[in-house]
Amino acid sequence: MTAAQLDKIRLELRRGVLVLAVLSSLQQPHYGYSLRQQLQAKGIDIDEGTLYPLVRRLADQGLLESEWRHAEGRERRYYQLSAHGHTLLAPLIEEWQGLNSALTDVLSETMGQQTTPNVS
Amino acid sequence: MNLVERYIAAVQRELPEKKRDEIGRELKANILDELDAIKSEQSQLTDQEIARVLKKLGHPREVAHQFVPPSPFIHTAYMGLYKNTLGLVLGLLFVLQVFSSAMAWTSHDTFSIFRFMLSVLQGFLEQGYFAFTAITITYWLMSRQQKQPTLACSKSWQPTELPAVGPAWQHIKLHDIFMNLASYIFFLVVIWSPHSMLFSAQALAAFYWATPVILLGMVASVWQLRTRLWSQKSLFLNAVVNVLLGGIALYTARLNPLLLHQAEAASGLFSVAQLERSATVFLVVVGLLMFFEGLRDGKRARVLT
Repeated sequence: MTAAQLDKIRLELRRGVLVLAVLSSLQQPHYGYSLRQQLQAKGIDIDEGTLYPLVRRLADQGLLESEWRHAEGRERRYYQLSAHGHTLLAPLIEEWQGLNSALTDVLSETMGQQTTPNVS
Repeated sequence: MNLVERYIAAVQRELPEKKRDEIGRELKANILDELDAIKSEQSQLTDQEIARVLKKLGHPREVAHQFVPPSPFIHTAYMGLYKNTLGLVLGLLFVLQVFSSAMAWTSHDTFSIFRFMLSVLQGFLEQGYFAFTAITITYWLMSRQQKQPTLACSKSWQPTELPAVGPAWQHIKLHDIFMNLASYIFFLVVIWSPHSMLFSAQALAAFYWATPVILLGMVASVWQLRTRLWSQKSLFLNAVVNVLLGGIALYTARLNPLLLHQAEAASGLFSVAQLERSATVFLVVVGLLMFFEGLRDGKRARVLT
């Protein structure tokens, strides 16, 4: 497998998960940079070029609401989960937990097979 | 900070006008936050540092596309239909142009292959530009009207309603439907165009009889666009249309004269006898092909019983 293929699959793998991470983090209001910092602190490293447009797209879909706030001579756009976003978040988390649990089983079997020595 | 302004402007240039200000304002706020964070760690912010941050953010065009992903000019659900429509119309225009240029070519006292090819190319491009634009704009409008075109894929479909597994030929290819439509339109144009005045009255009368059969074939082809699967009834109908058209073609082929004697005036290159023979051979070939297809469809209809 080439590095380009690996990157493509990684990107696909992360795409849905990042949406869930962003929605979950935005239960508290955040502006772009602070959201990125929070995700990074929890081990989710996401490029600015991906995160900021993603947040905006989620807002366009009505999952987030936003407002401009002015402080220290600077303006920042704060995002927070909307009522619609709240409604969707619970079933999405449930879906993710179900998937994660099933996937852990599948992957542990695969990892087990890989570590079993070949006796033939 | 000049670099930041230039970067924001470059992103904004790639955005739709109504979103430029808002996205630019938000992007600038985010970039300034990033730069503030670096500034708090270092005493001063160099242009190299700013350039590194902007480079990491991505190429302005890429970032703009992330904010507002470009939508295809023609929806992917319509792409197959669009390509086939273009193929049908442009193919038909080309064949008709060759036909028309050939008629003009043979009536010249002095003929040159170069002039003939130039006439085909010129005529085809003139009509082709218009046809291409008209078709593209039509599909563009269709794509804009619905975000999720469904075509024949209704949401209320049921797996139990799917047809039984049949032979491979039972599936009607989109390309075949459009080829049939193109052939029908070509014959209609040949029959009803001013060029048809070269045919004798008897031949024209026989051709006029073919018109309702051709129209029936066109309706059946349009219906096939919906179903895309041969049924016993549609095969039977197709067989009848092909046999009737084949019969008319073979009947017309045995008429004498097939062409008007006035055709001689338009025959600078070939004699009337040669033109008569060519038209007869063409009609016999078309007739036999139609008969073959009619018989084939009849046999297939029996298989489906």
